[in-house]
Formats: sequence, structure tokens, C-alpha cells
Amino acid sequence: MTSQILIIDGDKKHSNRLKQQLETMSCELVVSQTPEEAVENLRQSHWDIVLANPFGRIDLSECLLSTKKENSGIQLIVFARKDRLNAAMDVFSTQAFSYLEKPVNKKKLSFVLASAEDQIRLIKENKKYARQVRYLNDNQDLLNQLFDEVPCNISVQNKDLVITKTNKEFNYHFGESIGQHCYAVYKKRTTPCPECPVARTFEDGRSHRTEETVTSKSGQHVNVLTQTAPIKDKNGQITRVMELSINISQIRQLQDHLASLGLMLGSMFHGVKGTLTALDGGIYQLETGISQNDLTAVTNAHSQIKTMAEKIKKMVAEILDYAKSRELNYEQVDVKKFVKSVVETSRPLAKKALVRLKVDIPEHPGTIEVDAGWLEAALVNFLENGVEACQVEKKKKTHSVLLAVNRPDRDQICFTVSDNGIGMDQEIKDKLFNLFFTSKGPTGTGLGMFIANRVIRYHGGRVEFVSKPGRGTTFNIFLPTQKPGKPSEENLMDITTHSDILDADEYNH
Amino acid sequence: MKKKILVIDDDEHVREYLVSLFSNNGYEVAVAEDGKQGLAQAKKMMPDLITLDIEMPGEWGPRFYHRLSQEPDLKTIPVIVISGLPGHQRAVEKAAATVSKPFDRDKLLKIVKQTLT
Repeated sequence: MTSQILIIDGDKKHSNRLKQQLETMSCELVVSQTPEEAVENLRQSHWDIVLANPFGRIDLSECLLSTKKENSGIQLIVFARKDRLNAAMDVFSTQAFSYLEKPVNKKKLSFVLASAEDQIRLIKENKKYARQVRYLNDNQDLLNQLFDEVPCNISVQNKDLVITKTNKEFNYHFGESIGQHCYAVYKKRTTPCPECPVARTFEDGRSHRTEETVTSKSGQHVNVLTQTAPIKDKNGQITRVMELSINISQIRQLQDHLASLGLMLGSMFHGVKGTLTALDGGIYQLETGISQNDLTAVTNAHSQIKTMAEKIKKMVAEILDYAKSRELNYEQVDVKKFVKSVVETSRPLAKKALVRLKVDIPEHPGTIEVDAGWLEAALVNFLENGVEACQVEKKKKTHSVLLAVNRPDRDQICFTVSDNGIGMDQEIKDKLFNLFFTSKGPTGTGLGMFIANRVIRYHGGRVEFVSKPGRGTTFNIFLPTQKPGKPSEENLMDITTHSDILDADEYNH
Repeated sequence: MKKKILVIDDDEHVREYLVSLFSNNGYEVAVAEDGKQGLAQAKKMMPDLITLDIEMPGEWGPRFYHRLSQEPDLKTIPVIVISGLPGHQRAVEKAAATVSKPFDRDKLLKIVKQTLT
């Protein structure tokens, strides 16, 4: 026994006997034989067990009870004469660990002391565990706070890509999402994203980083940088994957801004480069003419160099004015003839892909003032994209692309290109008009839709579209019927009923 | 026998320049203003090499290249992209070479010669 024991007993003979007995049990003990000694010793707080007869010369009950109250860990063993034992029980009730009859039975005392020591050990262990639990709780609170307050979106996904935990920032941007699929929350998709970084981490146990465009709960498109980390169980098995994403929209916007600035300058310099090439050509012709003594060639070359020099001068002035380097060659175009030409250009590809090309055009669609060459290229691009979207769609039996013409009002024309092809998911829709973005794999250049959109915008027009994966896509291309900035003129337009929808072949013949 | 080059460029002056440059250096040259014309011309003359501009009205360069690569008889004809469009190196990934406008005449002739041998 290692407990420190205080014996309070005014009966010297009895207390000495107790002392002897306990010493044989190798207890560390102190005996108080007077009430004064008892009070003094009780003030010290290191006792594990107090073995006391409260009813000596002075009643020590109050003193014992207050000591117990101050230090609840002390195990109080009360002993008294048989006729006072009940009274002792009334006073100490459950505050005493045990009650013994005086004279104390040696065997009984050893049992009670052993039980008291067990109790002390349990209390100490309890205290230790309580401290550990407090420490764990404190740490968990800290970790929860860190998890919640970290200024990025964190979600934890299981193997089915279902979100099992999210932090405050994530909830703020994407709403309460536990139990939902990450691709539904992040991208409003119905199927997992291709190249999912979470799935890859489940596969190889490594962290993966991607850049994504996601949709917040308010419908805003946000550029995020995501990084994943595996969460393993005791056996090293990956049970969940944590996905962390940081909003980099501002950086992207800045990049886009810089890119468009660069693109604008690039576009201007593209014109300059072409002209410089032509100037170089003039110099070459001049050199050839001189070496061959060909006066006509020299005169022609001189004239070309002069024209190019003038053009460069004009361009530099335009660049300085931040004007467009490429002017559109506006001309009045008969819409019917124009549509015919567009359809003729697109027909070979449609025919090859077994896609029906349909045309829906008013009887008298009138004329529009556009750069026919550029606009035709843009519309052909929309049509051929439709054909290609049909080509990769394998579920439907028949595929068709419709080119419809509408005049929503006198100043506007709308070309609608509609297909029942594969359709676009949110990601493709978001990037559709980006330079060098393509969903067509190695055959796509990422230039077509970018340039087509640019051509429409150069004309002062706009492109709107709706698309559903598996259902198809409809583009509405709105264009002013007159060169922007030009006052509206009376236009003899007959916007009456539509003719029936015709097959392109029928329309062209 | 003279090697045949088809020049596709919407800029008349650039076309003229390339025509005289190539013909003065012993090549037979034909021209087209856009991809559509270019494909028709290619079918007609079966050139040994095509020089291709990227940004052209009517039908632009990558679209032409796509069509060309669908034609069994034409798809092996090497194409040199000659363009001033930023990033044009990525526009036609399988091009034999890409040359930026304005170009160095001797370098272009060297590239043409190398491509044809």
C-alpha cells in the first residue's frame, strides 16, 4: 500500500493498535491522538485516507466533513463504538467511504482499506481520462474551428463521390450539401466529371490538382483551383478524400483581361503583319524588276509599296486610337441568296455525316448590311458544329440541323442554328467561345467558335444559346440589319409567315 | 519536273508576293483566296505543298485543313501555315511547319525546300 493515511483516534491504546496493524501493511501513516493534532493534520491536503473516530473528547464531525468537502478525493473511513455507529452514519451519510465498529476488526480493516485504495486508483484514473477528454475536446474544437474558418472551400467525399463533410466557406458558396454528389453541387452535373481529381486520389492515393469552373448556389460561375488529399483509416485504406478549392476568379478575370488586351493588340498586329508581308512582297518585286531591268515590274512594285506604306500609316494611326485594325466590308446582302450560299457550303459535310440540313426562312426575308464573307464563315461554323454534334450522338435514329431565319423587329435579324446532337454540359458551355478551347479532341482547333463569335460581335450582334446534354443545342445569332451607327432607313421588308420547313436540297433547287 | 505549290491566302498582295517568290525559285504556283477555293484547286492540281493562311473569310485555315485531311488523295500533302494570327502554331497541329508573317524570304524558301525533299 502506498496511500498516505491519517489516523484520528483519541483512544491511545486503540490508536496504537491500529498503527501497528497498518505498519505491518507498510502504509505511510500519521496518528493524531488529540483533537488539536487532528485539526492541524487535517489542514494538510495530501491524505489519501483518513481513518477517524469523530466522537472523541471533542466532536470532530464538522471538521472532517469540511475537509472532505474541500478535498473530495480523500477517502473517509469512520469508526465508532457500536452504540455510536448509527449516529456516525447519520452525520456522515455517503461522505464516508465505510463505517467500522470500534474496536476495529483487523481483517475487516484490511478489506476496507484495500477497497478504498481501489477507489482512489479509479478516481485518479478518472481524473486522468477526464483531462485527456478535455484535451481532445479542446483539440477537436480547434480543428473544427480551423476546418470551418480556413478561407477556402473544403469538402470530404466518400468513394461514391457523395459529400460527407463540408466547412463554413463551402456551405456559404454552395449551400448545405452533405449527402449530395460533389459533381451535382459543384457543376450541376448528373454524372461524374471526366478526370475527377477525387476519383483519381481514390485510385492512386496521391494528391491531385485541377483547375475547374464551378457554379455557386447563386448561379455564378467561379474559377477554382482544386487540390485533393486522401483520408486513410488505421489500416492505411483510403476511406474518404478531402477536396479543397480556392476561388481564383479574380486572377482568371485579370488573366482574361490581359489575354483579351493581348488578343486585341494581337488582332491589330495581325493586320500589320499581313501588310508588312505585302510590303516585303513589293520590295521583292522591285528587286526582281530592277535585276531584270523590267520597268513595268518596277512601276507595279513601286505602286504596291506606296499602297502598303499608306496602309501601315493608317493602321498605326488606328492602333494609336485603339481602333479596330480589321474593317468589315459591309455590303447589302440578299438574305435568301446568302442563306443559300451558307447551306451550300455546309451541305457536303452534312451529307457525309448523314445529317439532314433543314432551312426555315420567311418568304421575303429582305436584305441585310453585313460583311458577307465573314458572316458566311461564321454561320457555316455554327452549322458544321451542329453537324459534328449530331455525328457524335449515337442514341437517336435521325439527326438534323436546322437553320432558321427570323426578323424579331425591323432593325434586327436572327439566325437560329438548332441541332439534335449530343448537346453541351455546363463546362463546355462556359468555355464555348474561349480561344483554343475545343471539345472535339485532336480534330478541333479551338478557333472556330471563338472567331465566329468575334465576327458576330464585330457586326454589333450577339450569340445566345441553350443546350442540354443528350438533347441538342440551339444558337440564336442576333445581328443588326444595318451597319452599326448608320441611321435606320425605311426597309422594304416583308416579315410575313414562314414557309414550311424544307430540306436543304429542296431549298436549293 | 517542277514541284507544284498551292498558295491559300485572302490577302491579294501576299498571294502575289508568294507567287513571284516561288515561281522565281523554280516552282509551279497556283493560288486560292480561301479554304473552299483552296480545296477545289488542290483537287485539280494535286500540289506537292500547300501554304495556308489561318484567318480568312469564307473558310478559314483550320477548317480547310480538316477537310483536306478527310480527302484520301490529298491528306498527305504537306501544309505550311503562314499567318500573323497570335498562337497560329496551335491552329493546325499537324502542319509541316508554321511561319509567322512577315516572314524571312530565305528562311521560307529553305523550309519549302526541306519540306519538299
